[in-house]
Amino acid sequence: MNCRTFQRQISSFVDAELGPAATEALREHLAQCRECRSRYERVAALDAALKAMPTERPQPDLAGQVKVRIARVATRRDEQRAFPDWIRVPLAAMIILLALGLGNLAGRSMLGTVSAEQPEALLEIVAPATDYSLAEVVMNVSSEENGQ
Amino acid sequence: MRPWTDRTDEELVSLAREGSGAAFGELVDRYAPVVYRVARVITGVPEDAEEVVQETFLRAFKHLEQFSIEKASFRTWLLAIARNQSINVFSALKRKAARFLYEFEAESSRRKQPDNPHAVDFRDAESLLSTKQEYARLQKVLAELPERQRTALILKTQEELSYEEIARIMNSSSSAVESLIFRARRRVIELLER
Ligand SMILES: [Zn+2]
Repeated sequence: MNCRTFQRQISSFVDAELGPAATEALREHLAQCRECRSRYERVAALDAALKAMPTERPQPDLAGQVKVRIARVATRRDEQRAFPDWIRVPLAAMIILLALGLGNLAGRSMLGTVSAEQPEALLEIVAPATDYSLAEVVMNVSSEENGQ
Repeated sequence: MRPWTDRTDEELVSLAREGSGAAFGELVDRYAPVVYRVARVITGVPEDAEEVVQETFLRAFKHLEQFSIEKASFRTWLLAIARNQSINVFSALKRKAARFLYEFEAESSRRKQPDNPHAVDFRDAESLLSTKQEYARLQKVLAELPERQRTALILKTQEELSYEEIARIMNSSSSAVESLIFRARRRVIELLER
């Protein structure tokens, strides 16, 4: 083995990632080769400097901010879990249903579930019982307290 | 009930999967500092690093069911997410700006002190980079390394992770990590001695 090979191994050696046989061979070589020893000392010094280098700390409440954000996501997710997809049919889809003449049926069943579970704003759809044309569908978004 | 701090990461992960926000909160407390340090090293910008911390935990939370202890420890898994997030933030444009800034600063400090102000004696680890300025110089040299070299070197020396763990975080192999760290050290020493 030549000095070049040994010098290549110094990095893994200081990282304690060199196998036992190679470590032994390198130690022996370092004991007798000045050039490789000098190389080793530089790498070791740099390592000591990197380890001792002060690391920047995040602002003190970063973890707290992360937790607040996650709590918000978790709440939203729980709310979504409480509503199967079919309940969260977009307004447009409901209008189409109404226009197709299914309004009375679909609107009522959905409203029943929505008003029972949805905590915030809810959608109130008032459709004339006899005429299902889109123009005559009146939509009104209201909050829970003044709705129903 | 046992305090959260007594629980292993794996216990906390399974509690979090069952819906315990407090369990996930403990993981945030445990790992926010290391995620920040790694993000800081990759992005080079404190504000970006903070954003990476937010995004990393958000992603971990949303994809908690993808975590598998057979594949990696929670820390390794989290740091892999953090690295990906950091790389996204550290766009090519920012890299150019950082490089310009570095060169600008290097140039002006050269002009101020023409006769080698930063002679470093590597024979004495104690005195090496003992002052604030010298650490600042080391920081600048690290910033000049390619991202992969810098990240691997820092994960090894400052976070004391194994080559194997670093390979998992960087989606690479142990031998590739070994090579990255070897080249990183060689380059840092070259730059410091310049
Ligand atoms: Zn030699």
